[in-house]
Amino acid sequence: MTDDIKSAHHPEIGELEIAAAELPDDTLARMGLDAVGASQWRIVWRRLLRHRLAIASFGILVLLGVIAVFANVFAPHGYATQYLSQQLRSPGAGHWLGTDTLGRDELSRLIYGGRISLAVGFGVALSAGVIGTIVGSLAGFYGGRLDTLLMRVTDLFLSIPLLVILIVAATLLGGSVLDIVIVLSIFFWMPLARIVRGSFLSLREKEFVEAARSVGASNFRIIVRHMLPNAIGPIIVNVTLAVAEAILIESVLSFLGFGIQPPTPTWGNMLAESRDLATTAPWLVWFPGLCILLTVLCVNFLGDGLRDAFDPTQDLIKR
Amino acid sequence: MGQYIARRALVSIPVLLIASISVFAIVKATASPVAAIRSNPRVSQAAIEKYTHDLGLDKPPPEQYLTWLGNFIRGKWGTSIVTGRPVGPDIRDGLFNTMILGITSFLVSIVLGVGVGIFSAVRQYSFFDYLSTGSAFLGLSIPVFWFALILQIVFGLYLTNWFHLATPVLPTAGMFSPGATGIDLIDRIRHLILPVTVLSVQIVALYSRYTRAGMLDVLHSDYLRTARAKGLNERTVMMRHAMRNALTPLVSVAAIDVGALAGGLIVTETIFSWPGMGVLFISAMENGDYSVVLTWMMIVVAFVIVFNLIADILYAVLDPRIRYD
Repeated sequence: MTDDIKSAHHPEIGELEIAAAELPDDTLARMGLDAVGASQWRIVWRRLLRHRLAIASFGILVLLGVIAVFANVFAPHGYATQYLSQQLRSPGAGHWLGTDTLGRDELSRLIYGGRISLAVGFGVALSAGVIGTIVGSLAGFYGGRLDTLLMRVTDLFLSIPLLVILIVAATLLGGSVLDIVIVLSIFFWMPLARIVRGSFLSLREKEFVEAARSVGASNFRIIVRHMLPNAIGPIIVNVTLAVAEAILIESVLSFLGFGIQPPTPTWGNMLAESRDLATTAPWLVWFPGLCILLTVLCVNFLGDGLRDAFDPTQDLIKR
Repeated sequence: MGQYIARRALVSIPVLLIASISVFAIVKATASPVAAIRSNPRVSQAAIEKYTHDLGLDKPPPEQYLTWLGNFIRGKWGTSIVTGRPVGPDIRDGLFNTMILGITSFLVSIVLGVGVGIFSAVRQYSFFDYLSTGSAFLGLSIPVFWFALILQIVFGLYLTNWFHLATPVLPTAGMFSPGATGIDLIDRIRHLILPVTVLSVQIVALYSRYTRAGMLDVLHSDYLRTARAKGLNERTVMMRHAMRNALTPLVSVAAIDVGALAGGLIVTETIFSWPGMGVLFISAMENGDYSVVLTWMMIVVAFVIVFNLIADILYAVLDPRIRYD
């Protein structure tokens, strides 16, 4: 498996080794390419490790993920438990981040809400990533009617503002977590499909594809083993960034009341509930927003780092 | 060139038609014009059928579409089932109010974004460059609606509390003070400040990035060296030679963005209770107000398509390197 990817990505890997002998000792190391014998993933990982902001962001995201997955362990109270005698407490002992109108613990709701928001983000990015990659590679490889159809449909949806079409679609489908993931996925795969299509169009003309075809490789094998590994960089970067976008859009939808419906907490509908209380309980506005901001910022930094790590022309040390 | 413009304009017509079919199909699937009266127990079945017939809803969908399209083009946009008023004036007012907010933010953003972008490109890797890059990153990551809420708290609550003011420093909702008569320009501008800030933060972040990238592309080009070698002063080199080429891509991006304004301010308008297109759309969606939603979406889509056309034409006019035959 690793051999295959390597030979696809660096068809002249042997020549590179010979050429490496003539370069100054640290040139390849500075480009993160010293691991000539290592797989593509190893090289990307090494290059990513040099991007401190991206690694720190990755760490924070893992931490948020763990807290969200084990929400029932980390949350001090239930997300729907009402302490009716303690409504609208400001942050302090007992309730670290205060309580809302119904006396529910804000911290616990943030943790459970994070579970939903992150699940929507990753669910949408993953499903959109899979659909976008499949449609994009087929359209780019075969061209023809599928390609024309893809381009026209995406053009059409580009002429309606994304939020508008999402509001309409969400009204049609409903307000459960799954509904919202489906609605967002339907409209998130299209930009990715266009990107994948673009790289497949140029890869189609490369010599190694011709070489693979000349030894009798099937179309499926050429797409999966030879072309996809070469297009994987932009796919991973865009899927990562889609996580941030999906979290933001979900929160906006829920904020406007067309997204995930209460009592299921998400950072977006928590903000919606806090809107009328902005002047009496400002902490209810601050915390969910800070959670969204932190997550989105981390995802964007990670995406930025991945973009650099996948770009072989980037010299990572001399910045 | 004339031929290119004519051909490009002709292509927009089928796009508009296909978009109108999709909009019609989508809205028909979401909202029914008789849903509201059907749920009313005091309306008889016969009355519902008469109403359905009057609206032409018993005809096959393609015929309904053609009837609607004919009426839409002639400006017969129907009446709202919620208010009973014709849709036209509501859309016109909404569009006007949205454009006041949108165009103001757009002008502020263009000036700031281009300024910041040029300055950070000319002083690449300076403190200012890093600061603007960092702020742009933050500006693009901050959730718009949350930023709007925070501004409302800061100006509506914190500042009044800290300085013991009788009234908020800036109004946090609406287009003008309640009870105001006539048009008080100062009052209008004060109401514009917060929503414009919210909208501008994102656009400035985006445009300063575009401008910076565009400027960096041209700064090291041969024709700039030639211009300097001719002995032109730095100001002329920047303004007449560098900026012209660096800003060409931004012009078409900006044209597309102006088209998107019509339906693109939903969140900001909702939070600041700005009576524009966004607020109109949200309330129409909540009430299942069929005619309003249909007309609204068609107008918004038409705006987007027409301004995309303008963007393409501007690009062709501004960049003579591009040939289209």
